[in-house]
Amino acid sequence: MAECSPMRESFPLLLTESLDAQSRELTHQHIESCAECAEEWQGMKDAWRMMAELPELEPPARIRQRFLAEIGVAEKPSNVVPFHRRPAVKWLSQAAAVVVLAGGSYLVGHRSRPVTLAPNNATLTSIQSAAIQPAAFSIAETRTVNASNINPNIEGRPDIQNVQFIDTNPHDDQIALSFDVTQHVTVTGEKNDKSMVRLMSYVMENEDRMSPSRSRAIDWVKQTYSDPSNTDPEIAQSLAKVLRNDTHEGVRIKAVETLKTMPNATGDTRDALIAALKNDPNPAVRIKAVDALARLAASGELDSAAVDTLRQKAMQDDENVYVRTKAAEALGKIRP
Amino acid sequence: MKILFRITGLAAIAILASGSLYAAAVSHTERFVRDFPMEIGGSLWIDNPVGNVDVVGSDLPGVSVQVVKAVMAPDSTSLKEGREQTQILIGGDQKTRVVKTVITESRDAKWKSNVSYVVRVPHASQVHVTGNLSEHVKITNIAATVTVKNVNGDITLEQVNGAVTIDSINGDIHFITDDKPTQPVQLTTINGGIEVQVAGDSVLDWIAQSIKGDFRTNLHLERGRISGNAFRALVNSPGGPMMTTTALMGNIFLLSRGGRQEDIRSIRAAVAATQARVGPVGPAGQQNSAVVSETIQTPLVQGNFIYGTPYGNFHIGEVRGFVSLQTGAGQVTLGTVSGDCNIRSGGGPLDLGDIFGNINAHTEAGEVLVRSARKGGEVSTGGGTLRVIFSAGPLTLRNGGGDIIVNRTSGPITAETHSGDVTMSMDSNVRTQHVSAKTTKGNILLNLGPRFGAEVDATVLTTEEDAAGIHSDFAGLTVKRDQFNGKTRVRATGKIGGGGEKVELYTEDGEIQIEQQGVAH
Repeated sequence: MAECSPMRESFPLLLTESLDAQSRELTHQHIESCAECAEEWQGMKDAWRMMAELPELEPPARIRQRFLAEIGVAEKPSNVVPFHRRPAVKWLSQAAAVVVLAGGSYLVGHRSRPVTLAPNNATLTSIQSAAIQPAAFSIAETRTVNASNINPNIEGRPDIQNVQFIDTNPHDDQIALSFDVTQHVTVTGEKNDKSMVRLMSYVMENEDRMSPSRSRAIDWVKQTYSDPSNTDPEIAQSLAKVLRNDTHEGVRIKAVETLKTMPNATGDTRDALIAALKNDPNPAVRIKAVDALARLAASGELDSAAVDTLRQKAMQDDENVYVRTKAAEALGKIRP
Repeated sequence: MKILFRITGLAAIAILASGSLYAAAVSHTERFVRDFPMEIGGSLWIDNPVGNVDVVGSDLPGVSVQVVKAVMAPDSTSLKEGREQTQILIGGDQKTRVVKTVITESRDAKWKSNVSYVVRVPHASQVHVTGNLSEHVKITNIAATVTVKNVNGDITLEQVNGAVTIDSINGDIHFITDDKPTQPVQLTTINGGIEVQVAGDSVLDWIAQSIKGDFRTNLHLERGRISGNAFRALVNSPGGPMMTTTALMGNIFLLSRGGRQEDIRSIRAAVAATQARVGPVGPAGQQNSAVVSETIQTPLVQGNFIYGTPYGNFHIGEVRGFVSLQTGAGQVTLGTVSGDCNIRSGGGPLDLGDIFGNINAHTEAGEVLVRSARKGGEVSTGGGTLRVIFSAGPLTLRNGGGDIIVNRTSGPITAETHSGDVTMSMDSNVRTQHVSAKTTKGNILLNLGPRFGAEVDATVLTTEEDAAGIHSDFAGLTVKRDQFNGKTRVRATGKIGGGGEKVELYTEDGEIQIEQQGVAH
């Protein structure tokens, strides 16, 4: 088609989102109606994405200065922060991490067992033909560490970023947690492994030292540790701490919601629920706290202090009526 | 006259169950009587965590305490332990007598015990009883102050003419006297009901409070007024002592001793009868804003559904008309609504399904879920997670505290939360739309189609100096940092996708992410 050629010429501009709205719309309409151009566009997008995933390397300062001097431009400090695509930021930070801290990650540096190599002779028993894939170029590798090999005590308060939870097979006990510390680290292990539990607790508790979202972390904890076979008192304590101290109301709602699903509440958990019911300014937190206490009441796990709190809450004239009725319902479930 | 009350069976069941549990095992019952001198006008204090208490006022001097201590266990070793761990302490002097049961039972103890007291005191004595689990506490013929506090079990006061304070959690309260009360009476139960029977010519200043229950009487009332969950009136005439009755979840009866049962009338129904009806009502609906509806559950309403109640749960499958619903508190679950949907709730979660008309829904507390808002509308909560699965019209969401999540929208959207994350995803076919999101504590995540065009103004105000602040998958934004009121302000402005409607995002102490659909993160 005659119009294909000019349209294809505008693909690079479309990729970089530099087309004006009208041309952009026309180009998209053409791509939708022309199979060849659609294929061409897809190929270009793939290539663009691959390029984005390649590491961006800063030129050495000496070369940069020489280049700028040759073109007569002096390097000035800028107060404008460049707005990179996120993958590039990630790779740059990893590269920087490797250059600055080539010695290894924070956690890897705290391995409880030193690695030793046995002085055996290498023997070649057979050579198998295999389709060898060229290794992708990477300047900052991801370190994978087994939770059982790391010390459960997290020292200092490391900043951890880009936290992701991985549970490839929900039917087994293996989970993984990946994050950026001084490099990208993936910790794998069993749900109840002490190091894994500590790491999860750390992720939840550290409001200002973790990104992107602790709400997501708590959601994941709920999925993983609400099962009675996986429940861990340390996780419940961390949630109780979040419920007591977190200033983010959405996070507190999630924390109390998760505590509600956890079996075998400890005294600390009960106290946190009672404190939330008494003092939390968010009515949704109080509703969920009273729900959780109702569950404890039904299982005979409430002490007289908790009963008194529920009694006060039910009779509190200025409390939300729904919270009052929920408190009354909880008291109705008290078992001797 | 016999009034049926909700049976507070928990205590009875527990005691009977524990009794039957150990019936096949071993038990031991110990009975004894102790007599002590006590002055006229002295005080009797009884603290009995498990078991009944009967106190009878008498013209005889002194106190007589009859004790029945029963211990049940699966074996003789546990029985012995139970007997040792259940102690009865009687102390005090002639002014103040104290009777106390001390049970040091651990959680894993195999034995159970209960102690019953029948106490005779001079009728001018003050009586104070504290209990936990019993079938009943009964106090008869006392002319001085009486206080009772318990958790489970009915409390009955007969011919008690002093000042009375009763506080129960799950028990019913019966206050019966042939005389006219002359002292203030305060009766409070949370899950039980209250029955008061007094002389027909009693003069009282009656205050009654109940969230779920009704107020019923066959006495003459003057100046009655209802305000929310409370009712206040003068019984017969002004000048009488205060009678305060609070049964949060149960009914309250104030009756004339020997009066006619058919004269008993419902205060809430009387108030409701005076209220005007305001519109057509479907078969399942009735307009009665003073009458408590425990639960309204129906699969289909043919027509409009208009309802008002101080308390009620609603589970309606389909409404072939509009909904206008007002509830003081309770859960609201609606399936499909053909017309507009107006809901005002004093508290409780809202779960709204497929709403074809405009939504205008608000709850003072609790989660809100809207599955489909075809024409958009306004949805708000005083606190709780607010989630909209799909919206096709202009939508305004407000949250007093908690996350706002919009899974897919094609209309303009305004979302504001006091504290919480805002997560919104625009339909991939939408080319441009106005978006406004604000949170004073939390992250904002905006997910847009690859062809979305907008003029973006995104601001992060944070105490973290090195915070990245704003991430975008779209090119075309310029980011600037400066200091504002001692905080770091990161602001990204510019056009994405060639420009379009305004996208305004603002957060404090959080991050903003503008994601492009299809881009891996």
